[in-house]
Amino acid sequence: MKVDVSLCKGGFTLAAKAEWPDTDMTVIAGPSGAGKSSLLRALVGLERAQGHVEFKVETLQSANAFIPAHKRRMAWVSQHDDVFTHLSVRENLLFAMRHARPGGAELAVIVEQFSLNERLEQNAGALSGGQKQRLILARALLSNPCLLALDEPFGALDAEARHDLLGILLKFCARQGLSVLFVSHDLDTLSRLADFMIYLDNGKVVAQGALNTCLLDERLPYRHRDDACVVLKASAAGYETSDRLNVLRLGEAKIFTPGMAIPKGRTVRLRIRAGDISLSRTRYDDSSVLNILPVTIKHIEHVDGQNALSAGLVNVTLILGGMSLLARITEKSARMLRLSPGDQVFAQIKASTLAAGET
Amino acid sequence: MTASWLEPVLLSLRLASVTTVILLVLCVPLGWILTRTRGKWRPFVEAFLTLPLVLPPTVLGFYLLLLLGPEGPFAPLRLVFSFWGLVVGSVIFSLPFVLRPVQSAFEAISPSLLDSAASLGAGPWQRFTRLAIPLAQRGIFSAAILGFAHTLGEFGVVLMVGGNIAGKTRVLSVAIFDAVERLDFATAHWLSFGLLGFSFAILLVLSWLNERGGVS
Repeated sequence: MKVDVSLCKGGFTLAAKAEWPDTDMTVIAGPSGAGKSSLLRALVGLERAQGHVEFKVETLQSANAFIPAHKRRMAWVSQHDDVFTHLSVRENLLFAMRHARPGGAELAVIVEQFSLNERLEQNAGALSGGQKQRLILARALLSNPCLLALDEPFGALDAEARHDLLGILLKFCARQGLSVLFVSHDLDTLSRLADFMIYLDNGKVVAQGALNTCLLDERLPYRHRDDACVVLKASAAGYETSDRLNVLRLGEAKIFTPGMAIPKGRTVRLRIRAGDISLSRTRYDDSSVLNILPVTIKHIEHVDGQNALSAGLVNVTLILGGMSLLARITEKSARMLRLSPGDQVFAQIKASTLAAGET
Repeated sequence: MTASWLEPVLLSLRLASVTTVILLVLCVPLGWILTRTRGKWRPFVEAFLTLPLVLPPTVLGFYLLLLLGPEGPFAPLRLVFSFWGLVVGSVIFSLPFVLRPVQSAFEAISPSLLDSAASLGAGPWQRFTRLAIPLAQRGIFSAAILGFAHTLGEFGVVLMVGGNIAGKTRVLSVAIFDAVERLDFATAHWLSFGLLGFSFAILLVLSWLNERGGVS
């Protein structure tokens, strides 16, 4: 998508210029009030901005043309429970199908995936919050959109319900090749879903790039957060049945993750929290840690955290065969090990802290 | 006796029904357009359409008489002192009573709901007919009842535009006035009490409706 739009609304000015791969899962991130939702609305045609928008070789908006939202076919899911309360669950879904582009998913399949079977004849207004979110997402997918635009998806749900719904969404998108553009400031959600990030602050694009690049970008807050992490793409290389461990290939390195077997060759998303990595000068062979990776130190810095707990901590940026990792250790450890940029050390990651996710 | 009081009652009911139907046809799209547009002209249009709410019916009736009368631009339609003249007057006079509730029912619909529908591929007409109208159903029904009741009770405009022609323009309220003038208090009582009871019943139904479903 190629975007160069500006919008003035009640004293706030959005002036965003960005470009990202059409096939990627893209997150619009940034602090609240940065204009994330307005940008999303402008891109799907719900907000009349000035400028230029292009998606998959089609010009959606230019100086003398504007394709309205109902012709853009980008299913937009707001932060509100937008179920049609005068209709049943089935009728809500049929509403989307009536206007759907040809070649979409079948009603029965979607109903099954979203576990809506038993609620089909119920009035949509009578559903619980979580069920409404399911219905809204199912409805959006049934319209067979060319892009799914989510504004703070599942923000109102508890972590478990959000996890479930993200899982269903990811599976669907992988199968149908549907790209998602979403607004989120939740690190958990964006690290599970995004490939690419557009970071907005005060109406302007501050940074844009691949997710991991942005998570480590020094201008952005992510690397200093308590839950700082990196998200890497690995491929499944095998399964050790007796130990029930997946063997993933991360560049040259091998990584063990627990869980059910992932089909061999599949690309998975591996999220590694900075706090879950420890460093050592020598390679231990009497430790319980399964993943020990030879890495090179690129950079060491103090954690510029918001709370008192981050005092005395440092971030160590590590290079692993072209990929970047982040380790969070104490200043004392860094001093005792005399760590400095360019050093070869071993990064230890407990397998139990890792979970490979869908891409 | 029977004919003398039945005729105005039937005429009033007919007038109110025709007026209500016309008002719904006018106000439902108009209310929707006013809700969905944010132009500079909107306050002027709204103020103009609300005028009948505050103007004395005689002022309205006077201007209508000028417009529809033999010297006016609409003279060829021969509306003055006819049933359809009453309809024109009633439609204008009762318009805000129907438009306002319709508009507030539309305004109560969440904009993001309509935007969601648009992003699912529903065009403006589908959003109006498949979402807005059914979701505002209760408000539209209340508006219809209010318009009907208000038309039944109007007097000034009707008298100015329609006069007092038995069987043609002598509606309920005019008949009451007429009866009082003739000192026929018995008829005046019957008609007045009937109108009072009917109006009360209608307002009671409205209030029940609101209580049952809240503001839709």
